[in-house]
Amino acid sequence: MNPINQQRWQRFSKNKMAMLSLKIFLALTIISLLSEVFFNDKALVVYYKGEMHFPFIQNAIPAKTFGLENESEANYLELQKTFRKKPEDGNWLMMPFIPYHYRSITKIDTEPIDLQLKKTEDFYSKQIKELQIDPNANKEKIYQLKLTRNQALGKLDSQKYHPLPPSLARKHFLGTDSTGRDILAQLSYGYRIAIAFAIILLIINYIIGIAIGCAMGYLGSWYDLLMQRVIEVLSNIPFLYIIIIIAAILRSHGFTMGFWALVGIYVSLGWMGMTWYMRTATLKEKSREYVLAARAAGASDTRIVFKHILPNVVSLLVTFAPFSISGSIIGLTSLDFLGYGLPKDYPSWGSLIKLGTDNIQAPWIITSIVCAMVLVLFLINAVGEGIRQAFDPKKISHFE
Amino acid sequence: MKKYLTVVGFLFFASILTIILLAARKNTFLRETRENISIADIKRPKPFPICDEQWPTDLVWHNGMDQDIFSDPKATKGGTWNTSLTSFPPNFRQVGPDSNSGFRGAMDDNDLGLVDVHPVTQKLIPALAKEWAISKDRTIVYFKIDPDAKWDDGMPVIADDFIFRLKAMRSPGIVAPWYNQYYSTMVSDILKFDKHKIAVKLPSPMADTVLKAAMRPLPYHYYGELREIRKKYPLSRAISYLKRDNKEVPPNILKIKDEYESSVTSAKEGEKTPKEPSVEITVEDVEANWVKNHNWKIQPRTGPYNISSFIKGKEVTFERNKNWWAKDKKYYKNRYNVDQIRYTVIRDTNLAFEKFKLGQLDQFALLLPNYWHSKAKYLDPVDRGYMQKLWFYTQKPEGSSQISFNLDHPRLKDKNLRLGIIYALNIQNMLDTVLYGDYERSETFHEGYGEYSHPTLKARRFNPQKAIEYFNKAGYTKIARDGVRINDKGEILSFKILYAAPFHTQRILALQNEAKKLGLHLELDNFDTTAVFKAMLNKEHEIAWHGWGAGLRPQYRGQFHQSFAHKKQNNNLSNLDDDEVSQMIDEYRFALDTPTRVELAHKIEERLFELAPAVPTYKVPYFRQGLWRWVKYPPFIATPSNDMIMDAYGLFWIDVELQKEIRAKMTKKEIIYDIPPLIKNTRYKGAP
Amino acid sequence: MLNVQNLKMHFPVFGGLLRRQVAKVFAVDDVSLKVEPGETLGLVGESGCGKSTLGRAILQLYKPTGGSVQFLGKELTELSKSQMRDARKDIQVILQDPGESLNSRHTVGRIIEEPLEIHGIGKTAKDRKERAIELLKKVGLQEDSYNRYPHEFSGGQRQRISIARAIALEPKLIICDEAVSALDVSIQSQILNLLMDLQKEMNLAYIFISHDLSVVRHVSDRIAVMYLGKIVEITDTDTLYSDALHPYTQALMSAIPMPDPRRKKDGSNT
Repeated sequence: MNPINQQRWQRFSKNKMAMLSLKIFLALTIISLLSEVFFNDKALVVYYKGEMHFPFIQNAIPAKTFGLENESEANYLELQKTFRKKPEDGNWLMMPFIPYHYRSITKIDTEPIDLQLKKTEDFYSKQIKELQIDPNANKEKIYQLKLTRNQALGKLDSQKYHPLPPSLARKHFLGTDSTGRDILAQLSYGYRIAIAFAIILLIINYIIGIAIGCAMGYLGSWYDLLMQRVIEVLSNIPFLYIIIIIAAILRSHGFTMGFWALVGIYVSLGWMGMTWYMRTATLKEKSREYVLAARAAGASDTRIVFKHILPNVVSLLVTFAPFSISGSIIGLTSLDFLGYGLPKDYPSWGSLIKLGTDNIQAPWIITSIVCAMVLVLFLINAVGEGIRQAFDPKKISHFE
Repeated sequence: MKKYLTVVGFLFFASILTIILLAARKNTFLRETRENISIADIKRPKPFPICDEQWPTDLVWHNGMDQDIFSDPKATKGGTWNTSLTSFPPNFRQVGPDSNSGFRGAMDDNDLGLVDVHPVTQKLIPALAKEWAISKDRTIVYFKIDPDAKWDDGMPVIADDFIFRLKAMRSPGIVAPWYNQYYSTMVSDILKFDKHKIAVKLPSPMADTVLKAAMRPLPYHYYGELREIRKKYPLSRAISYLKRDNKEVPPNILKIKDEYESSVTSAKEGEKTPKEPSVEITVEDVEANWVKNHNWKIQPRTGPYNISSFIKGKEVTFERNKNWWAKDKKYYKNRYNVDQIRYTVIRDTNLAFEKFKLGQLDQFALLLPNYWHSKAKYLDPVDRGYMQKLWFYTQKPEGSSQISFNLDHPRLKDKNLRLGIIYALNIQNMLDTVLYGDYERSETFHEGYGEYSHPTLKARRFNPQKAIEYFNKAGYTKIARDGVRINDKGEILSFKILYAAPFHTQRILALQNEAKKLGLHLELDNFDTTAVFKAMLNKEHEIAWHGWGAGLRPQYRGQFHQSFAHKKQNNNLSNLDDDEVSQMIDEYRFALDTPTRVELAHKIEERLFELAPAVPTYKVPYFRQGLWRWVKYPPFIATPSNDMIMDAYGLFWIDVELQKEIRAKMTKKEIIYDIPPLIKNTRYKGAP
Repeated sequence: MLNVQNLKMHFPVFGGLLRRQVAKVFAVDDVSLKVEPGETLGLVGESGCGKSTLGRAILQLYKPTGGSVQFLGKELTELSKSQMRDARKDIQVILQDPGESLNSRHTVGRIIEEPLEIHGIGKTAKDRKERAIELLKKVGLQEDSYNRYPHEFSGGQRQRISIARAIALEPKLIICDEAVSALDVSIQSQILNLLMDLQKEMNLAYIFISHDLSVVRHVSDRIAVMYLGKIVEITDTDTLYSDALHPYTQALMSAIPMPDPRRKKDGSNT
């Protein structure tokens, strides 16, 4: 490693907050990348009649493979129940930590709840009737009884329909949403999409930004002027309208707004950010003497840009990266929230926020997503701040 | 300097004080009230000429007086009904640009037609017409206008008002092409015999003849005489308008027509056909700038209520006409009881619900399952006996919610595949889980149309075995890595389902989840509502999740006739191109007698079931609402045609005394026990 | 070997709303000079007189506005990009600030190898490395300098690296643009001696640009004096120091610190 970078890394690793944030961030990212292992409705391992199956990485295994009467894919939670009923067969399976995929909808067994509801209702109605017959009974008392009944019934009844509150027994650690999907699983898969989106966007934006920015700074003259105007025009386009228009055009040509279409739109309007910095940095580096020396040695323009100027401005890119990632995550989330983002069945933080605000009577949805969002953005920004400090030109001197 | 500062300071505080004062009394300042003009001051326009034809003497007259009344004689007058609007109407016109807002219905309900439909028996009852008769060839309907009928400014309703309606609706000045077209083609003329005798001529014999001819009048004395203007139209339309107005086609236009026709016939194939020329003709028109002038004008009405005052952007108040001409007529007695109806603009539904709970609104619709089952499950005012929840099953034409397959899609052409998909859609599960089990499965495309609806046909239910069987027949025999079926060509069993309302996402997710288990992937495709409707009408969807509004009779032509297939911008979302269906639809359209039409309707439904271009999803055959106890209704609660307790029929009333009593009890939190808190009426549930 | 005729280097000055050219700066105005193989030409003048610009114009780092630069019989101003790259083999430059002119992200080895790489000298990386180490030794640096970074060296050592890079292609002419001005006096002489040693060994010609007359005098065979973009006087060193003709040269001479106190400031011997 280049000694300057070594120095920077040392400086970064001394920043405890940044280091801790980086570790947590990496851990979260790894977990979300391995979402299929942690949050899945497919079993990790099934042992059936002396054979091992690994459904979570295998092709869909028809249920009849495991002795169920069904041609479609096996429901592993039910399979687990059947296996447990007959331990003597020696079949077993292991489910992931949370046995729900982001798209699996948990069905509620309403029968016992209905039974309980009826019981409770009868219990209170009987008391109320008795009191009503009794001419000496206090009206207040009846009213009080009615309210308690309503509360008890309401509490029971809310268990009948999604969203369900967090529960360890049901393994919905953060509860379910109004469709019946696990919030934690959605958070994890949603985070994966958001971070993948942000990183892909970052890479493409940087490639375009570097290419155009360097060219602007290095070539100068009419090219610089032209691109400056182009960028000024593009950066003043209202983003949301463009998204709506582009998606409408895409639809009329038979495309749905998917992940890559969204990346494309974001890139087409987001590459400008980096070009300004690159242009200035290149202009600055271009007039330095080492560039002159290289030119005197006969180096070509490409060689100068790639071997001399780029390595010297790359530090700039690194300091910007975390902030650009958090920006992309916020962007995607807000677009999803407004309903112009990813398809509706994708796990997404934006649609979770929308669900949360729509179902404010189920506070666990909005609380989970807001906490997750704040945490991740905090981590990324802490890492970014650490990098920025490590690269701080005030603390580092290139010459003595 | 000091003096200057004092003056400036004084002016500053004075202006702030004025602003505060104005803001505080804004409602009084901004309230606009309807002008009252005495009858003597009203200018009477030139009457329309009496026609040359003879009033026939051999007609069979009907007066519809043999039906039962459907109001409650115990109803008392008085009180104010408070209800809400989600947005303020852009204008008070009922035609013209931006007139089609939700508020228009409130005005339409107070415009009586010549006849009305009995809400229980669906038979004709008199309204502005006292008697009516149909000519033998069923193209002319004769009406005797009730001599008592009056506008609410005191002027009598006369034949001229109907003729004026026709002419005004045909005029270009109202800027409403749909109305121009409709009144030019669906009614050919209105004949005036005397002040109270008219005949409405229809272009051809039609079923439901009287209803087709039962127009609403437009106050001629209010809008004034028509003027003649020169107006340019495309050639063919100009000629049809001239014919409509019984005018000679001038020779210069005939010449242009000949030239144009010859140029069309001589145009070679592949060449662009010449553009249709425009010609100027004389047409009758309403006053200049009619649209602008009548944005906020309040027109006289024949109905029980009319707008009395309003605050722009905030509220509109309707007031009962105490001298309404029909108040003692058989079918109108004891109806329309409250003195005032006040519409307040509340943009947010949640806020409206809170206001309802405080008693600031008299009723609140609890149709959506999450309101009925969650937000309004247990309400304190209900427990205390101040409020009542009502669940009333109705029997009126249902809007049709359905899932349509685009038959122009190369793979969806295959009927086996469509059947497989239909059997893989677990609609019942969706209704049970996401919709709390209280929407109902639709069996056919037209439900609630009385005898027109097919009595026995049942929609295909979720059936995993059959789904798999049909998927296999369609060639999707293998299961790919992610559990989705795949055919030999490597095409995966995955389709995009396009829908407009974001809150339907849950419902489709529930379907998607169940279908996935059978190897069918439904890709959710939702976007901006307007863009989605446009995409559907342009047939850009693979599968569309949508709904149609209800009409008086089942309508098949728009959605299933082959003349609309493979074309853009129409309602045949499945691109169904079937000769048999189209032929039956044509027969149905022109059939005159009800039994034939009913039989055809049933046959069409059966054929549609067989072809499976679409599948009906759910219906909501009831209304649900919360009501304060002071809102009283007849013992039979409502008619099977009611939209709500408060609607066009106006059968409810407000017990003003009880209102005071309950409001007093509310402050003291006293409890009332006499009435059941929840009423579920299933009298009209199930098959008609 | 090098024949500069009527070389002009004008920089436009833009101004106004429409960024129109409103004036010109005559950085180098109608300059002619000649350099023979093995010769050292000193180029003096106060800062801002255009001596560095002249050097860079000769190197074609700036495109001259007019005039000709003939080098080894080739007209440099008319060469194409690739021809120019070949020509650069024979004409190299040493810049003033070695800290600036060496890319701080590259190791010393990479810096020295770069010209070799560009001109395809040395077939393999190993060959080039051998050559680089040889060059390092030649300029008096340790072999282990190869893998180190410029900022680990002192100013004089860095200038040695610059020199190693300049001589890597065995050029015929090196333009030393204030090559020693940034260094301490003691180190200056070391570097100057190194340069003179190399000149003898490789038969190099130098154009030695400096504002410091005493340094120029130490190394040059002939000296050209520049003033406001023009060469006002060009003679051999001894003549210049004995009888400077141009009044500017005289003024310049009087500003030189004299090692010999007996000598008068006007330059005449007493």
